[in-house]
Amino acid sequence: MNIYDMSTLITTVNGTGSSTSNELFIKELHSRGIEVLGKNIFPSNIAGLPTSFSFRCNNHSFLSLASSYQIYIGLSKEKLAEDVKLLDTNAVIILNADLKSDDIFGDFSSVCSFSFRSIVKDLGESLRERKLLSNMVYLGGLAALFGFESNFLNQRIEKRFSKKDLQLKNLKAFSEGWNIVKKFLELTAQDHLLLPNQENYKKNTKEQPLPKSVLIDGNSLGALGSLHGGASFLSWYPITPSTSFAESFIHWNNQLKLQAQTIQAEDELAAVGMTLGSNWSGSPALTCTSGPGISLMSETVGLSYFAEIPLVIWDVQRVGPSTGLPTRTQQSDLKFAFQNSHGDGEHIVFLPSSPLECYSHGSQAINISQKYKTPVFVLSDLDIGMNLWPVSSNELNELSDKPHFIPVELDFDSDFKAYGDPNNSGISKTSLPGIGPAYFTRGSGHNENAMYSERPDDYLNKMRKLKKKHLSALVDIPQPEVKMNLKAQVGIISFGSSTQILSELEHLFKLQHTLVSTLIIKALPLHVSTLDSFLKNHPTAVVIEQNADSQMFQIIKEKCHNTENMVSLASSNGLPISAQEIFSQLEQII
Amino acid sequence: MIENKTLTNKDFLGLKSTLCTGCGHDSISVHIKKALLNSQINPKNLVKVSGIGCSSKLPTYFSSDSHGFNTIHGRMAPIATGIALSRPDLKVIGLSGDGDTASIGLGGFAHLIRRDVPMVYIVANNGVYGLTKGQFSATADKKSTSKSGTENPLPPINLCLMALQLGCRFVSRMFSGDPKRLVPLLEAALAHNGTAFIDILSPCVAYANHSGSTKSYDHIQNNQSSFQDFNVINETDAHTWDSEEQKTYDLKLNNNRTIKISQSSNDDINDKNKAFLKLLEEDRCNIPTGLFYHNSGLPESKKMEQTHKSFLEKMKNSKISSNQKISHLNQLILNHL
Repeated sequence: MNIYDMSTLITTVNGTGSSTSNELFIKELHSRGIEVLGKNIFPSNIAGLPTSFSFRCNNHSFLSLASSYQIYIGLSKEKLAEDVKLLDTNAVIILNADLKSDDIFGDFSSVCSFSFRSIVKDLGESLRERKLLSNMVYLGGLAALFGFESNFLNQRIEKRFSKKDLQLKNLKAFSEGWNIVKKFLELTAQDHLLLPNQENYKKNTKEQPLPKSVLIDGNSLGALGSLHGGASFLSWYPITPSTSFAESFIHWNNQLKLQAQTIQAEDELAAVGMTLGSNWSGSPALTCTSGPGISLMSETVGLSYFAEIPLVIWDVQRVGPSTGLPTRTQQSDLKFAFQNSHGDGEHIVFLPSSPLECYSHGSQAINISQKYKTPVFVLSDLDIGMNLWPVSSNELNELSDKPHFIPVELDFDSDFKAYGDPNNSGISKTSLPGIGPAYFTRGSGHNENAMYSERPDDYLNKMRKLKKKHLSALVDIPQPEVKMNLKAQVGIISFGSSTQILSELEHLFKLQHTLVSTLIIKALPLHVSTLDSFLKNHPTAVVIEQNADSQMFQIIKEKCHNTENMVSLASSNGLPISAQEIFSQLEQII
Repeated sequence: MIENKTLTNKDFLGLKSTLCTGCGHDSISVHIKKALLNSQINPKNLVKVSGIGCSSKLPTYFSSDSHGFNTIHGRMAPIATGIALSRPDLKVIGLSGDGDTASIGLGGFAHLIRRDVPMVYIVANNGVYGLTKGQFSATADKKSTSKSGTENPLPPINLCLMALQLGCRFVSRMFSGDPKRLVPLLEAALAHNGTAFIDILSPCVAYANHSGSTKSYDHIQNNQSSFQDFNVINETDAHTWDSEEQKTYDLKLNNNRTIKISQSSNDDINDKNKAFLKLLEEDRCNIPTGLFYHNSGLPESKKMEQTHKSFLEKMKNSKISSNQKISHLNQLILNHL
């Protein structure tokens, strides 16, 4: 098998359409059988600031952010001096000579610098159009670097632009870029950076088989999973990075004619309120948001927990506290979600570690919330939610065979007890308005007949019931995924998007003849016995997470045993986690 | 339970009130019971939603055979929105107070009105926070005093004016001690096809019934200008008696009955501008009470909601029914991406 691992960094100015163009390019790479993952590292504004797109082609399917780059495209003057530090010494650089900054790259031998303006000035009619065409110029150059023909992107360009003259302009810009870089490679006697497999795919681009993976983001799959899980109502308030979850929900709902209702609310207080109202009346509902939205939703979460009403909150985590870094990724809402709202109480928290799990967790979260009549958080993050990831077609189709929406059984008995505990699981029966026996729901103290009560015994019974119910859910929530190696010196515990580095870490350790075990936590409450035995079987266990407060580490420490040899490796600067960086930190710990 | 039989008083009973003796709110629950009885609304198809505060205790005092939901402070509006929009088969009554709606819940109130959510929205308005013992609310008049004599420095929020500006098609105000007009008004609200807003002046005997209060029984009785008469008649007796001085409007009710509202021919219940003027001219000595504005027409967005299938039908016919398997997820995604 050919081995390849090549990372490209493209820095442009945002609002110039580069993100859309970059996606066209990696989608084409992916459709030609190249394992690729793209990460958009963008600023929190609409236009005018530097924005970066990083993509890594790797035949091991390693998905984490590279720590250095072999190819660089520089179109933003502000960012060049910073980016140059991230490049390999033998990196190939395509530079816009109009920025007059060639000297920054004086130490590099392969710098292809040319004026973008001179190419697009006659092609584009407006400034806006010339900016858009510049994207095609560097993509043409990239195609040449990767060893593809000058028609590499033709089909996608033709599909993207319906107007004939726009098509031609873009094709022209692409081929101009391709020609310049091709000539540069010939002059400098460099071989192009040929990626394996492409020979096979070049020939049959017209008759591609169904790809073995789909390139898609977690927000799209989470939305589809929720709909397939039975969500028939979504109320939401726009907030990065969860907005595309709501937009995808609306998209799928229309495309698949599913008749769910979607309401853009006036704020998160209302979004979660409408969601709760819909769930209370029997129509499965969810809301999507990010950390600041959860802050506003917290009071309603307490109502949902105490009054036992289903509620699903999909949190695409971003960097906090406060406004923080709205367009960067983090796993810092964990404890906040787990113990959300005032007073006692812990909640079910799903921790999808990939877009595929966004789909399956989306479906399960709806059903579990309905069954247990309690808040369920799904904690995705910006990295999983907004970046394009390859998702295995086989695994997707395996999910097809699982049951999706499971309606809750309704009770019609006249002696219905709204907060009874017939099965000693803490789960009460369900009666819906207009259908079953009436009862009164309130967030104030109540007894099992839903009557107002301030009695100490009623309160204690209620709180014990809620705790019991929380732990009953352990049989239904996703189980931890353990890869136990009995001779392993170190056990790595992780969750969510931090798990994307695990296969690469194992590979790096293997090169050093070090064995590791891994445990991926998929949901809270914790499966304590599984964690206990994992911790017991390793001289050292490390908890890897993307936050500063070691939030998962703290939860494990509180709930599990054998934690004396457990170490925390928690940090986040807002960029997606990098296997190589974590590896060097781990080397120091072990 | 009570299909096809005439509903009686007993069908709308609630629990014993825990409010202060003489509280205006207790008359509101009595009048609601009467309106529900007159309209013959099956308690099973009714839901009662409230926020937090004295006003929000009301749902327990009537129609115990209906599902009820006492939510959190200021959030009756969004929660009721979620209920009303997912369950068009249910009749929703929202009960709130002046603190719950005009302060902490003002955003939710405004947007519920904008959406014209099909429900009755009642504010039991006494200008004071009762449960926390006597602070001014946002509807208290400027220079009115608290029980301890402090003067309110801020002007009031006029909820009717706001509702009118935000596009509400049923904007009304009534005194809780005026059953002759409040009961038919509630019946008309229950028959309305969008948000029916009723601002009910409902004195607080504990904290706002003194001489410095402009929300006391005496002050409201002495200063309200009831510009309309309400008469409920059976359809068979229908006749109008418009004259030069008086104009009459018919509002159709649920069970073949009609409310005849008569008012001065200078007024026009269908004229929003006249309603604005009436509300803008009000002051502490001139408190108009009645149905300011009524428009039964369906806006475009409303029509869409009306075509929305009822809940049970939706559950039965949903594309994703119980345990349905989704075949070829991969292909589905590729086709629709």
